[in-house]
Amino acid sequence: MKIKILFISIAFIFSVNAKIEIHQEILINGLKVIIVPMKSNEVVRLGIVYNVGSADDPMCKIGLSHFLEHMMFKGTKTHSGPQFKQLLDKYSMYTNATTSQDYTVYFHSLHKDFLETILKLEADRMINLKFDNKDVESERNVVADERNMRCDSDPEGRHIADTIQRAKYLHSNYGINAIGYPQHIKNYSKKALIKHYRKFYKPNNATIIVVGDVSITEVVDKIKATFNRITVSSEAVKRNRVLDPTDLNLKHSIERSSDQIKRSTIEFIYTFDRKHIDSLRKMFTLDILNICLGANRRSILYQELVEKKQAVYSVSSGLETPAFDKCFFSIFAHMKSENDDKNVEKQISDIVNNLIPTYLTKELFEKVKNTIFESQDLLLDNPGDMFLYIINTAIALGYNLEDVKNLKEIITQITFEELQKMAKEILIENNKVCRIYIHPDEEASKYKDQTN
Amino acid sequence: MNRKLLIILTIVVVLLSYFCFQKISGGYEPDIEFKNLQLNVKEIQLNGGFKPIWFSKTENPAVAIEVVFHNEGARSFKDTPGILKLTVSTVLSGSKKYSEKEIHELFIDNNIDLSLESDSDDLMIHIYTVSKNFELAINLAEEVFSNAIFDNKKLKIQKQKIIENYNQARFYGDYIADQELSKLIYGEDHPYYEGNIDYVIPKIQKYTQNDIRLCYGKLLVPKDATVTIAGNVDETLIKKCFTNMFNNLSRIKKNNFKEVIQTAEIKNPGKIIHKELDTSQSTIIFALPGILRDSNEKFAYVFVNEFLGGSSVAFNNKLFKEIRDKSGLAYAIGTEISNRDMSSVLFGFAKTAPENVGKLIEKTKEVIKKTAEEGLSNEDLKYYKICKYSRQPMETCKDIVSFLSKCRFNNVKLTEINSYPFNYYKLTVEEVNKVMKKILNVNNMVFVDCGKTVLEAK
Repeated sequence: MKIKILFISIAFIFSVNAKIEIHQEILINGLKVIIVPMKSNEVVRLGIVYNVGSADDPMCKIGLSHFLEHMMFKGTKTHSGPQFKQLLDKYSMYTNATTSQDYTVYFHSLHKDFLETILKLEADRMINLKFDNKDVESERNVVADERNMRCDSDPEGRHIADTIQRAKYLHSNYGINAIGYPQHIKNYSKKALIKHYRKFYKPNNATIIVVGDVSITEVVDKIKATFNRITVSSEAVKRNRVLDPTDLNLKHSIERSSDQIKRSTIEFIYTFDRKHIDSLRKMFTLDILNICLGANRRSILYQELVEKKQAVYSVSSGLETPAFDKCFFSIFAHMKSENDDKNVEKQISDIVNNLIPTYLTKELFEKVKNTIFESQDLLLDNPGDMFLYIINTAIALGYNLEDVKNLKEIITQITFEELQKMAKEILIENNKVCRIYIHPDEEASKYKDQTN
Repeated sequence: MNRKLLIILTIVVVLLSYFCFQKISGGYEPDIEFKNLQLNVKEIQLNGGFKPIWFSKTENPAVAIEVVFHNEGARSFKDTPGILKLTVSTVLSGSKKYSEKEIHELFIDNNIDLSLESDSDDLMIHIYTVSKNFELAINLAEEVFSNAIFDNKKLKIQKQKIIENYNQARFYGDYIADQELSKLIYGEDHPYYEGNIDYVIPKIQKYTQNDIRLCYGKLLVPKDATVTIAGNVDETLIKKCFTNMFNNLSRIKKNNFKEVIQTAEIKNPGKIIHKELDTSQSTIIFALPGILRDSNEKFAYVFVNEFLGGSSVAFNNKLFKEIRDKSGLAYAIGTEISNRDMSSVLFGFAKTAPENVGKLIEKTKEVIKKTAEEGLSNEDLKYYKICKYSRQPMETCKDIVSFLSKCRFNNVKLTEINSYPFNYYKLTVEEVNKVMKKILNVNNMVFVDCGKTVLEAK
């Protein structure tokens, strides 16, 4: 999903026909504000992003940020839980929140007339959240149920996401999924919640994003009127992250088989250093590489493995670029049952190892760049995509919005040689750190897992 | 000294209170007035006796199109389960003019997002593209759909994939519960019940290229198709492109699928079925008889659904409040009205730990019974009206097409579109409570739970 947003949002930024503004400023209390006015039938996307995610959670309480996200809907000292939720439902067409490993976002889709009301509700829960014992206990069960739904009840992926995440990040908190483990969920306390909330939920640790049918000055005035009254009594939070060591050179092979699994899949994960995304130019070069390799039916992997060789049912590639620590490039294939995993692995490796000069051609590169340019108009129809793009780039990865405004030149200047260089540096055997093979096994009742 | 200390202490307490409890001036709750929609929708008549197109012109340089071929869904293929799925998943594997690769390259290079989907009742084409590529998109759609060749090798691969997916579905609570509920409320002979997986898979295995081509010959018949478009496109171009496409399809496509009769009743009221499945989370779905779509009580029915478990008031519907918020029994819980042609049953769903299934079912019944007894107050009704109908989210062309499509499904006239939400807005509390008492009868509920618990079937 992230790569798709970046891909289509590149085009959006340098639209030829419409002038797009991105306004940003920082309030006196440190709150960052980003506003993007665009036509959207009087609908506005509003979000507030806090720089806190599960990778900031205390040990043995991973998922606390996510749990806190749930508690943010339970009421404040000024509005009881039912009142708060009633107001959200009344003035917001759609409202929700999400917690990743690096940030927590509360977002709304609303009519522009009610922007002020929702801003006030956000300000209220930023500083006045209440923590009722009964709410904490009932929400604990809800979160446990959510964990069960997302991670533990899937017959194919049951628990395996935890194993894969830990294989990718041995030491850091990125190695645990944002929702935490069941035993962590049991361990959350009201005291820990309050401490976490007071540490991270403040204006100098947050960004407000507004996209849609608005005027910049009006929105800035409303935000200032609401949030400037919130004073800050401590410095901005410094995120203390334990990074994974880069010299271990560990390789993981995870195999899962069961009589409850009826489809075979295989995945390869390559690691790469953050230096490959330390500028927007490099980030978009990486995006182009991903599109060329596996993002759609025109991609190299799809054409070779699905169309020509008919070796697999489907194949795709993807990126994982957290705010800190190393990044990952993955290739995923849905295998045919009669295919041997080693054979599929060899075929994928043959393609990846011979990307240059055989598969990654200048012609393909130019086509992908051209598609990006051509898709610009679609983005003018969708403020939601712009909203996500801002979060994924400026917030999650910390790119300067001034660079975003010059994106057209950046994309135009990316050369084929840069793309080749990136492919040569990232997609090498030595960087392949994880192999995950999930397949049926009629002899294995329940699950048989092997990790090496 | 004591006085000074007292003053200092007072100042400290005041400052501490200020920092600990900064009041954001609440109570800013602007009134929300009801407004009619401002959609500019017109009909475009096509040459050839086809239904008129509904078109809403917008300023954004994109266009969204939905074409619905009625009665061409899975229910029209009851005797050949799975054939529609197989046909739809293979149709873009090549045409007379373009190979599969060429088709997808054309879509990608021109930013055309085109898909063919089927559900129980209908077949739908969805297209989303930049305005300037509208004509190209329609012409491409016409070529690939009129001249699909169904490569035999690709058919075999798709068949294998679909069979694997069905085999995998045996272990997913959602699929099992849904199939069991369909069987329970409609009966095994009903077109909405596809059949047991062990019945469907051997059928799919036997379908040949000829079977697929015969099936496809009955699909995409334009005679009764409805087209809805929103975007920045010229009307003359729309008329030209669709007249051309529909006339070409009419020459090669025929079927005799019939309209069907809607029902709001369910068989086996009061029954609870348990399906054993080795999983850490149970899936529960339930159903209640509803109100027919063409009844004059349908607006009140929609409100009852929202009040009970609908998504317009996601945090404030009864089931969310009682089962999730207060009891912590489920993360996922809600209700919706079936949008199937032959059914307007009220469905509900929940997921919970196996040990909580019994509690959840009892609590759900308790909430429904109490809701029916207490009914909606005037305050409640006013609130729900505001939440659902004071404004409609129409951010993108796709949102507009989706809304207009629902209007067509509900037989709303063109002249009534902008004032359509007012039908809900003018409801009285008496009208809503009357329907609530009629529908929310726990003795008529059926439950299916799929998971590790054991529940005595009643």
